Amino acid sequence: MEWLKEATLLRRIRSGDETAFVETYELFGPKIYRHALFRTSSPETADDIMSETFVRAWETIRVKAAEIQRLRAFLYRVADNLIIDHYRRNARSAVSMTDEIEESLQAPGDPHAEIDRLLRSERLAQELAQMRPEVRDLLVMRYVDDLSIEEIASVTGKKKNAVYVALHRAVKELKLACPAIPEN
Amino acid sequence: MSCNPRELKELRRFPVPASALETGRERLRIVMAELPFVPGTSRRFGIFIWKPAMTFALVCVLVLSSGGVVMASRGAVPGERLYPVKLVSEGVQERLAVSPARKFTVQAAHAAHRLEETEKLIVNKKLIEEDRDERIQTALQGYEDHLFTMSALAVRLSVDPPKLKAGDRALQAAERMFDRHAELVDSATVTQLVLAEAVLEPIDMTLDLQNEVLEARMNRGRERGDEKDHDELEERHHVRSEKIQKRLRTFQFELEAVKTLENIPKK
Repeated sequence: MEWLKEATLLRRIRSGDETAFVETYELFGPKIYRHALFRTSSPETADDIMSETFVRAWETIRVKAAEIQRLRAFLYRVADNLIIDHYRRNARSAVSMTDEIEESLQAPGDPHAEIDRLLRSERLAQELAQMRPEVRDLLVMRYVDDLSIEEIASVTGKKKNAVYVALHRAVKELKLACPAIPEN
Repeated sequence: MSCNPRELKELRRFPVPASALETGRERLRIVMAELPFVPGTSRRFGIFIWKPAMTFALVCVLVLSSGGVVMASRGAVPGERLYPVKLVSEGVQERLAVSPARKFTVQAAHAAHRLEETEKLIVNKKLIEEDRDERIQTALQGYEDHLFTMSALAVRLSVDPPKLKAGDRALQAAERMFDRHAELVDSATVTQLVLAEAVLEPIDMTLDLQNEVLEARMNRGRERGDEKDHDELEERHHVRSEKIQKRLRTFQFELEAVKTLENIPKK
């Protein structure tokens, strides 16, 4: 029911309820962070982009709330612009989960399952980092961010049809990358 | 590990450092304190819609009319006005299904609906080609989403088998869906390559799931000490897979032919 929550938040923001935007941050902050992390492969950049996305979004929304139709698509569009700026300026590095794994080792309970999951995630993230940016971006938007084809089209400014075809090719490319991933 | 896109969904749980969230939150609070909300025309419907009496009336109208609308939406295809109503009513059914077996059954039925819609759109000659392609892609994307969910549920069902009847119903629903998919692949057009590719795209995933379902049905038969219909099951599975593979080979052949023709320089 995220769409309902999103619609309610937008309605509250439009009526001047500023706490609704803080709630928007709580709901979408982690998602925007992951979105930025898998597209830039840099935790530091993901930090900056997440924070900057919400600052810029607020600067717009505080004066033009009525013009925003979908909160989620709007936030991803802001993040997308920041990521494109980042691409223009910097090269990418690989995502590392070392800190998270150390934290898991110190955590109570059985840490092995969690470490397994983190390692799998790390390998997937590294596999994504090696893909062509346009392919990786689409896969992240569709399968990690769970954006609909319509939302991806709205974020990227492409036609829905073009997004579908590109996504279809991206999935094929991902499948071809399989032999590069070790079993364990 | 495989490179199936569904594996990417695992990344939705990728940990986000609490410190990063805290820093962002703090910065946002400072900016919001400096730049408060500017009230404008954004409250255009606020006063109207949230008056309690109006809201109550609206809810009454919606409740009274929704039954008929849901019924009417059953035959809707992507791009039609009632299609979102159909998806919402299906979403409600999916959420109401509690057990994994019931969820699997509902998902299989809804996946079959997406294939039905695709079939309807393919034969609808009244639509403009581009519009039709887009609508077909919407239906197929929905089908693929159902397949992802069904695959995840199949893993759960194999670890924790459901009750006999519920399990049988789930497997039968899946079989019906596979039959429909085989029919669709068989009739898929190859004159429009993008469309044909889209129709054929979820094949790997469907075949994988088919194998899992076949195995589950045979295991169930063994548990009951009843293996007499195994041959029939395997035969049906074999025929269906053959049909799909044959269609796939024809498609690839035709695709190659078209590509070759495109590469021949025009005089």
